[in-house]
Formats: sequence, structure tokens, C-alpha cells
Amino acid sequence: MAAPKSEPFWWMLFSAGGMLSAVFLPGHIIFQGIAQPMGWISQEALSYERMHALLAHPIAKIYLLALISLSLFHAVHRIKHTIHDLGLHASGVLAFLCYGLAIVGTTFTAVALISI
Amino acid sequence: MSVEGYKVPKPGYKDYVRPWPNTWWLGYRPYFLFMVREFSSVFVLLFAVYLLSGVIALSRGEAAWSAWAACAAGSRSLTAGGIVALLFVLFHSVTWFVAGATVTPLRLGDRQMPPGMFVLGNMILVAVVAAIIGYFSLGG
Repeated sequence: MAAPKSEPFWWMLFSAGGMLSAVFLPGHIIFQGIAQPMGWISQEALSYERMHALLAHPIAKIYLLALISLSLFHAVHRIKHTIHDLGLHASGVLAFLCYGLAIVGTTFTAVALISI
Repeated sequence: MSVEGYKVPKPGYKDYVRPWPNTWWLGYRPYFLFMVREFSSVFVLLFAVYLLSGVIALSRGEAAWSAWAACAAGSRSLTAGGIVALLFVLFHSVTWFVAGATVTPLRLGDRQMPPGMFVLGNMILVAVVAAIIGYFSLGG
């Protein structure tokens, strides 16, 4: 089966997201995924005022949009190919669901960040 | 279509399709590690969605943010999920840099940087980035 013409475009997003998630996600998982639920981050650090001020900065917004969006595109591209490798060859529907999820996630991220 | 020296089978002739069980990646270590690497993307997805949920909560005002922070605090299942996600994503990081050492090799003078040094250098970068994220997460 020939790869669709759009494959290089999705692969580029996969590759960019792979790099960002490889470099930045371990740190976020340590602090937001483990330290925070463990209660190791103070109430002052987690206060609305501080977090709002932190994420209101344009650099923080661009960073989070790139990190979340490209991580989503990276993940769905890999999941799509993995499902194919596991024997489910519904590539059209699968591509629609996978990339659709990343596009919806990107939209939500952008809208939320703009309104902060 | 006909290719020289190749006889097109008559209609009704059934092609032989080699059996390909969906368990092909079990039982051979490199294939298994390939699948573990691919499966890391599920945790990349889940954690990106978790970060997104926090961003959405923050954008909806103080009450929504407090509810999100309270929900995350003290959650044992979230902590366990975080630890599993960290292991898978670190595996993604290492394998990504192993591939990177081949795809974008760095040169030291006229010699290529050894792949091990490339991976180690990038993992040090991951640690430095984690420290910076910690600086901002813990109050700056």
C-alpha cells in the first residue's frame, strides 16, 4: 500500500513532537505527574494567582501550545501506526480519528491559553 | 497488467497470503522493545491530555483551578500513573536519541560523535530541563 501524499506532513509533526516530548515531558511528569499528586508542591506555588501569572506570560503560552499540541500529534501518529502493526488496517477511519483527536486537542489548548 | 516472463493467474486463483499473527512482536526481544517504544506514545498522549486539563482549568478561573488542583492532590492512582508514564516516556527519550544519533550525527572535528555520547548528552539535557521545570513548578 502506497503512503498517502500527506504522510510527510504528519511525519514532520510526529518528529517535532517526538523531540519536544523526549526533552520536556520527563520533567513535567516528575513535577506535575508525581510531585503534585504526592503533595510535594506547596499551596502557595499551586495558588491561582501564581499559576495564572506564570501562564499569562507569552513565552509560557507558546511553550505550552507547542509542547501539548506537538506531543498529541506525535502520540496519535505513533498510535495509528502501532494499531496498523497490530493488524487493524482501517487506515482511513483510523487516520481521521487519530489526527482529528490531535487537531481537537490543539484547538482546546489554543483557546484555553488565549483566554488566560 | 502483464510483466514480461510473468503469467497472470486465471480469475478464481487464490493468492497465498503468508499468515501474520498479531502476536508477531512477542517472543523476539528487538520486536518486543520496538513495541514497548511504540506503546510509550499512549503515555505521551495521556500526559499531554492531563496537562491540557490543567490549562483548561486555569483558563476557567480560580474556582475551576482550585477544583483541579484539589482533585490532583493526594491521588494515589494519579501518582502511580505518573510513575508508569515516567518510565515509558524516559524509554521514549532514550530510544529517540538513539535514533537521533543515526539520523543527525554530530561531528567532533573530523570524527563522528559516538552514539553513546550523543544519547548521554541529550539525557543530561533532559535532566537540566527537568531542573528548570522544577524551578518554575516549585515556586521560582
